[in-house]
Amino acid sequence: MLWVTLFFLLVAILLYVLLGGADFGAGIVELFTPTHRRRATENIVYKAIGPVWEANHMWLVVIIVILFVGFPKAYTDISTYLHWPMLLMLLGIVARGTTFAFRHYDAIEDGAQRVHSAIFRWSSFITPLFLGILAGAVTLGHMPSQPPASFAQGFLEPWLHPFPLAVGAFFVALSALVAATFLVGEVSGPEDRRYFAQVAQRWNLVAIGLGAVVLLLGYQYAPHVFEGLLASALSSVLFLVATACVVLVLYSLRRGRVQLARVWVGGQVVAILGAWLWHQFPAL
Amino acid sequence: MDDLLAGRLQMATSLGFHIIFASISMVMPFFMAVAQYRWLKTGNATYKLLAKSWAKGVAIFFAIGAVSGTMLSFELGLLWPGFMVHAGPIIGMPFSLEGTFFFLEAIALGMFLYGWDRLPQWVHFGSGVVVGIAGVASGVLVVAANSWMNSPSGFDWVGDHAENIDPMAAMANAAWFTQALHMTLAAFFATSFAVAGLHAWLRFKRPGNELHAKAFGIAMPFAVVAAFLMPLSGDLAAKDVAIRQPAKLAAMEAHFHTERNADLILGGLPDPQTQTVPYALRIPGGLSFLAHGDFNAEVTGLDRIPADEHPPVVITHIAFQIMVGIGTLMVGVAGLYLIALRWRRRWLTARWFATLLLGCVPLGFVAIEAGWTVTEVGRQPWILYGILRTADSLTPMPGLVYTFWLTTTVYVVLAFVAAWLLTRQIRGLSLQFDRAHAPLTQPL
Repeated sequence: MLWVTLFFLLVAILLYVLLGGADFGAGIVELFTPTHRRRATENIVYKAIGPVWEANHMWLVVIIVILFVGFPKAYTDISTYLHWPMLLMLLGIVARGTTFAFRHYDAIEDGAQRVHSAIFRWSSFITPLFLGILAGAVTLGHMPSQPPASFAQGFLEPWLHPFPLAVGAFFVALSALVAATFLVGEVSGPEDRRYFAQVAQRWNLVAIGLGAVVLLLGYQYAPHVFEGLLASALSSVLFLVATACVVLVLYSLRRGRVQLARVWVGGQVVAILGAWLWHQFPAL
Repeated sequence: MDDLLAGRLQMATSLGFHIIFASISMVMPFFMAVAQYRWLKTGNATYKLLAKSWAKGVAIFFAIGAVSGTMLSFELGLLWPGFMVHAGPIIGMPFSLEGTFFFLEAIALGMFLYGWDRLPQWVHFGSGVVVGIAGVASGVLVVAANSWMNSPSGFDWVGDHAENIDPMAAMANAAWFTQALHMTLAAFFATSFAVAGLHAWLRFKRPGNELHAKAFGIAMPFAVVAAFLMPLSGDLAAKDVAIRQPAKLAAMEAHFHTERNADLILGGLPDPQTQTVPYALRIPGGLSFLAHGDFNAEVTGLDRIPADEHPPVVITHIAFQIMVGIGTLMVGVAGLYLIALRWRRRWLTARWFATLLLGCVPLGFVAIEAGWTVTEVGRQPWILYGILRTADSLTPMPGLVYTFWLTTTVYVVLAFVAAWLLTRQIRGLSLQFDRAHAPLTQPL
């Protein structure tokens, strides 16, 4: 039974990161789009994620339900000591979900859409940042086991720390990469296609850089994690697969093989998460 | 403000916000589907325009309902970890089923919004109906979690923890049926009156615009049916509360002393110190009859409940009076409408009647909030009735007053934006209609 539960948890996390990540990433890509391209990008984003974005919340709800049903103690520890990053992530979800709907279903077009868009982009950035911070903080495991002595020790230090912050930034880049790779296949003109392929390559480089930072910080602050990752054969293999995917994504994008690039990006995310979760599981 | 109060207020704000948007997005899809059905049957393009613009409204309300609901599922753990550590494994069932229906609803709504002129007409219509059904199912399932807090079942409480957990028995708790029925009807009641009221007023203002007449014609029958079913489901719920939660009933009715042939107290301002209710209207034997169906039945008063288990009487009583008062008023309005329909057709186009209906727009939602207050405040000091106290479930994190203000600000801003967007929807709708029916001499 435990393994069945864990399996579903794994699937839900994977789907949320892959689908939700693409969702957040679309807003991040918009955020870093030069002003003269924004309008066009907005339309493409709407076409691409409009029909599905709300369904993605389900994976998050599934994750949370599995956590509180299957692992109530871990769940309450996380929601007690990581209260603030979780709250900020939620406010991000609220802000981006509502402003996305507001900007596309408003009956009258005027300056209001600009405000909605600005909030949508920034909250798309903040949400995966704090989601990554949460994952990083859980990995780091600095949550107090006894009642904390001070607010800072109990409710800030577990997450306001270089390692979780780096994981947050890495997740932002990963989301943008997934989204940009997805968007390459959604546009029709060759010029747009080239543009998004470029964006995807850039985010891939950023993700590689931040991934390296995460590894370095992990090596310094969470050596047990690092060693655990390398000690397990499966984790090591997945780690290598993720690295290989990075190269393959770049290669496929250069050659204009969009579908292939999508597969590699998906593989990359699955491998990174797999390595992390495999290591995380015994001591969730 | 201490942390417990801040936490309770934050939960109340979040739920009070979500309940409105969830109710609207539960009911609007049915109006949208009826409008589309009439378009498919009659070919009248006004119905199509109506269905299309209602769908946009649904999209906005659904988005707000969805994200505020996601927020709530987390807030349970953020604010009440001491509750969730026990409740999580027991009430996971309705939550996961609710998630499934939510998923279905989101997919169907996506199909509906993007399916205009792309999907086969009847498949498209079907997706709209699925949105409505899945929405109601989600609502009913979420209420199961709340009714479980009112009538805990599906486990044995041993010392300080739950054993022999049976999630199905927890979901099928005794209060589920009456609470879910009452809540679902309330959603239809409030939303139908709001939509009917708005369009009644717009119809009065712009008599040439048949769109508003058609919109009113769709929403008002729902309002009338819900209005007449409401008191029945309220009676069922009250009789159930009388048996399972005598403290809540006593607080609702400001019934301080256990007695036979108990009076029904209408209005008044309860004074827990002196245990009296000044300024109230009393109906002899009324409470005994309503609670147990017998004028001589004994009704448990607050004197039988230990003092540290009393719910806040003043808030619960007044909220209950507001809910029942508004409900009665609106049943009256529904009655007037039926009279007008049968004998006094000219009322339907009169200013006073349009104004009366416009006045009903917010009232149903006020009644929902009041009813919600009754069920939640009336359960205090328990978070899990008779087992776990709210105060013992609170997160140990200090400074909840800041998270309270932060979330409240977000919700207040969102509420204003939603109201503002609604006025824009209506303006856009009228403009579109006028454009479609502009004289041909004018350039389009």
